[in-house]
Amino acid sequence: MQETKLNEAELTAAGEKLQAIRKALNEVLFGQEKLLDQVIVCLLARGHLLLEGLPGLGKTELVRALGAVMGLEAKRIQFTPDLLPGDITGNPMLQEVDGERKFVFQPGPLFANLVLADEINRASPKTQSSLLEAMQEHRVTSMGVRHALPEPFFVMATQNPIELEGTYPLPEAQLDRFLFKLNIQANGPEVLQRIVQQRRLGEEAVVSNILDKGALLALMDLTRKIYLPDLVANYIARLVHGTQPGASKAAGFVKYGASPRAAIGMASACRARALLEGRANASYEDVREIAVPVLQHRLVLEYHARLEGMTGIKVAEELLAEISAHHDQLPPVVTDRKVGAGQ
Amino acid sequence: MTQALDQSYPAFWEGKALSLQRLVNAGWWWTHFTRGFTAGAVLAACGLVGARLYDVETRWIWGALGLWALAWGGWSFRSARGKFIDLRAAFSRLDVAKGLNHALVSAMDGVGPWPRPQRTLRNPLQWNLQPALIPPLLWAFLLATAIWIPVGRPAGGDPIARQEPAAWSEISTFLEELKQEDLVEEEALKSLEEQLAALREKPEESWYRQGSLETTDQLRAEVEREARKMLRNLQQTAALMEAARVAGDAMSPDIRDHMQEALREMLDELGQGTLPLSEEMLAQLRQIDLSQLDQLSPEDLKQIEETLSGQCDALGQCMLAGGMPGEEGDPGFGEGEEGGEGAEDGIALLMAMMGESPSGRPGEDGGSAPMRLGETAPDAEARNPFALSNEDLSRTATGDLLALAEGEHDDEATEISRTGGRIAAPGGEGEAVWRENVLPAEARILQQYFQ
Repeated sequence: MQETKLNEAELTAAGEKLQAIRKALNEVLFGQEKLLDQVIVCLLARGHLLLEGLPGLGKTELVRALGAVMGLEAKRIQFTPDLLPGDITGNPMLQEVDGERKFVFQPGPLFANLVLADEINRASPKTQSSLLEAMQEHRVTSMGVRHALPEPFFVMATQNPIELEGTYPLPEAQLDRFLFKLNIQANGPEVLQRIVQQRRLGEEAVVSNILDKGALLALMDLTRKIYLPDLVANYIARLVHGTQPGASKAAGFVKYGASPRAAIGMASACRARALLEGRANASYEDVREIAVPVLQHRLVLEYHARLEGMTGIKVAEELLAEISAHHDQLPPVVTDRKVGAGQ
Repeated sequence: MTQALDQSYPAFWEGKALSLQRLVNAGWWWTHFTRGFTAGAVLAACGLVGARLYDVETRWIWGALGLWALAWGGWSFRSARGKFIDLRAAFSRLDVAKGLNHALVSAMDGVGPWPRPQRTLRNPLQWNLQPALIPPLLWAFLLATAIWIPVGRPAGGDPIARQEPAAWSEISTFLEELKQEDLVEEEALKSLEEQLAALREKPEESWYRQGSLETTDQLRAEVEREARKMLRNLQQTAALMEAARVAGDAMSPDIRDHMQEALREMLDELGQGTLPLSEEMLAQLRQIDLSQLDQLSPEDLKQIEETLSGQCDALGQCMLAGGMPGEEGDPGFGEGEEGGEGAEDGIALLMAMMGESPSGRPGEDGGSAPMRLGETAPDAEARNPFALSNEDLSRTATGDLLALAEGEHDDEATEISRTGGRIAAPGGEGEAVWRENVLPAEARILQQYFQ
């Protein structure tokens, strides 16, 4: 693909906006700087996000703040076992239009820029799968008629890792649609103290608007212009290939590895992270930073992996340790200079 | 000014990348080169040792080693080229080492600006001295060892390994002496020499093996046995002649016939065996007819007797030269025999052949007594079983002693050959015991030691 050279002024302006977004979100969600960076990266890469964490850690607050900061229309859908596909996509309603009775499509809550699918694994597979088309193609089909979703369109789904009774695990095809899976970690005492001192029950945090939809779409377009060196692309390819059973030592517990969609998503995420860092090109460091969120939910592990305590995160981390970023090897008679031996 | 500085950035970074690239590629070449050159150094070291051992010029080994280094160096370059890194990979390594996030690669691709040079920047890679220096040190050690290690063949070779068993020399000497004395039939001597030559034709390393030594012992024992038998027969013939000369006309015709018969038997024995008396001498002796003693003068008999005695002495000397020392009672070993003793021996021999005893001892005078020995065994065959003649067996009881005979214990009397394995000097009994009990593995060790 022909790379379009980035304008230095564009890069600087984008960097300033993204820094403002970072700052605004950090004012809402305390102590989650890395998580917020990854959420921004995911949005810039036009990906969907799967959040896993205990209740009360700020997932809804995050979605609301994102919508406010970026000027997006945000909606929240609470998934329940009796939720039907039409309840989220919308239903055709019989209405009288110009003297005639017609079925008129009434858009569901999916028609928003930012959709929070809360506890997505509580809905039936039928309802879960109704999200597939919306997430991949940004449209909904009802009675044979396609309805485009508003741009930009993001789905942020959450899962509760402890209440598994009465849930329907997401199928692999559904999981593959999420660019990132992020785990929200509990806060430390210092962060909790800050939360206690600055928040009151029933009060919503005041969030300033930084962008509008157009500016966000421009940033997304700019992300696509970030240069991805072939060496970095090679690293991504070797990492994704390494998830296949037998392709690496780390993939010993893997039954099915990551798909090419994962490699494409990883490349996009690398570009987005480079833009967030104010660079015109992606690097190995970007790959290492986004590899675990991209890969962890795409690896289908063997049945005995759980007995061994293996998770998708551990496999991805072992893969990063095993596969060198450099595709060429050093001869045994040459070594890295010791730290402190020179600049 | 700023523009000029910016233009110097790519040169700076390219210089650093080239330095890194050269280091990595040289490392790969060195890794490939050391693998093959180590084998060459080992071969060269072996060649140097061999050349010094056989006093061959070593220059060609050094030349070959140099050529091998050149050829293998070229081959290493060709085989290592697949692992060489290019400038782009070198930029990437610089990017990672200096935390530049691929700014150099992007700048090389014309996507971004060149980063500002870091003047104190050093190559992020370096030689790993331990694995890099071990091979050349090993080569130096190998070649130095090959040059300085003391080598050399033992002066004059291995005398022990090249010396044939002493028994062969002794047999050979004995046969040579016999040939000069013209005592024995030439064909018989030739046959023995052929047997000896067959032993000598075997490889030197097998001369001292068990089989070769046993064959040698058997050959020597046979030669010695035959020589002693011949010596005894000659001596008895001489004694017979002396008895005939002393008794002269006093002998009855019967005794003369007996003497003639005894002479014929002895001559027959002399003409048989591995060492037969020469045909010429045998023919002369066969012309003597003791039954017609009247036709022979005492002078003739004396001459024949002296001739036979001389032959006894000659044979005895041959045996001494062949390492066969005389035994008790053996004639011809330099002990002069007084006149008259030979005649007595001849008479005793003759009477023994006639079944009479000249001493008149009981039991040998023709009469028979109960519980006596039927025949007197000669002392020389004391170990042979005697036939018992008990004519009054009705009086014997179980456990009665029927006979006694003089004898010796077998273990002491058994003749032990001690010739084959002897090296330089005759050893004691222990040497024979050691030699006959040596195992094949022990024989190999001894053989290696002597070589």
